[in-house]
Amino acid sequence: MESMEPRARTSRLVTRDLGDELLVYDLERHKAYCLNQVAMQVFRHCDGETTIPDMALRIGNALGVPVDEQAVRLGLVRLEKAHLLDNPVTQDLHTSRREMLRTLGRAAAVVVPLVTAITVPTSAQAASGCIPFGSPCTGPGQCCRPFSCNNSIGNPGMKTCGGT
Amino acid sequence: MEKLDRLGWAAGLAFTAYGVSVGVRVSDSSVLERVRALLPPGWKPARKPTVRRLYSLIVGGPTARPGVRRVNLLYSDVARLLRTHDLEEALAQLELDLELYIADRASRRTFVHAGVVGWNGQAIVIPGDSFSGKSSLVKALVKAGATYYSDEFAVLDERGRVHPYPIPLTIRPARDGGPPMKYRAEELGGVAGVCPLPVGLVLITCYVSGTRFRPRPLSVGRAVLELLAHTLPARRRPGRVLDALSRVVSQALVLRGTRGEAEETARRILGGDLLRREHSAPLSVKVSVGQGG
Repeated sequence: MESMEPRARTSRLVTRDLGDELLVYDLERHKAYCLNQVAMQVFRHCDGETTIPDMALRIGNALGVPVDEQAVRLGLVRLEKAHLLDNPVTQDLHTSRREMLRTLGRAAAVVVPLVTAITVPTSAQAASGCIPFGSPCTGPGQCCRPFSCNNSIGNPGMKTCGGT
Repeated sequence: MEKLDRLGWAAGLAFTAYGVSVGVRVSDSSVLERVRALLPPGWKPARKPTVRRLYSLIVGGPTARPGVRRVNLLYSDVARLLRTHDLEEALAQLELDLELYIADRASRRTFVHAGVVGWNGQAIVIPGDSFSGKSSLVKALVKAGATYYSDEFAVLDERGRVHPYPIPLTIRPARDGGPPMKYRAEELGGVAGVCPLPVGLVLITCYVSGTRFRPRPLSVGRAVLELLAHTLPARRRPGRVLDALSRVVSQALVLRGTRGEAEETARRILGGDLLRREHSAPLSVKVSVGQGG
């Protein structure tokens, strides 16, 4: 049952090691992730040759605290959801997060793998979080300065950012 | 482009800003000085006529026929950006596009949408979306004695220092109410910074009426993600951007939390011990690239 050996994705990723955390940028999806120490260890041990029980043992040694296999499974689920694994995890791992956390018990606060994600904005989005000229809008104050949300001439019922 | 090139151009200029060369040509020479006023801080005349991007502004106006006006047309290379009867709108779009293009393409700088002030030899960087209250907080900090660096961009260099981007501070009265007010630092009783500063504090905050300012520290990784969400060239050169942001947050305190009134928040920031007096040792960042970056 536990013969699955997960493999981390390596293609089209940019990573930066921050010591206790790992930053991962997905060049295909333009998403960025911060892996906490536990998730980082799970990611690093996904070499296509290490089983989950072995992973739990090795990560525990690396962190200096016992690591439950459920923590590893939770990490794998989260890494797969983030498209950071090459081979999909089995259905057996898709127990609910709540069940996994319940199993982790007291150690949850220490060994929970966390993967924080953002969608990386385009330069126009990053500049102000506003809607650029010509794009659809729904109300005032959404459009990049100095434009305002007006009825679209070519599309009745639709509004776009346009003249002031 | 050939069609545009064949039109009669009355005047133009070529300049560089932050390592990016841009040209602007106009069909009416009287407009060129207005274009010059829109250029980003620190621009210099280009040494070579060849530019990376060329804007073309065909100026409209009245014709000999009563009631008939020519439109203003603005192009970015061969792409038409705008067609309007309002020259002010065309100039505003030109200014915006210039700003975005240079911020996105700057060769040795990383532009983060943020307000910046200086205090005790360190920079306070306040990233945020429009209407988050960023400019109001910058204004309050300047009035309280901080040095004005920008209310638009934190311009980061490869050492993690932030450089001034001294356009006038702009305060919008409300989402829907009235024109924006512009202030120079001197009009607020402050001064504009000129030297690059190391970043001492990154404050991720937004205004919520009635709330108390109790920000909490973020981990380095989470702090990088927060800044990344406001970094213009993030998609274009993610590896270099991650390096620049990692360098900044490894040397600064990063706090996140909502705030109340700007004046009270400014007093707490400048009067308290939020800013580190000594920098910790820079984090050692290991690089690993998989077919990209």
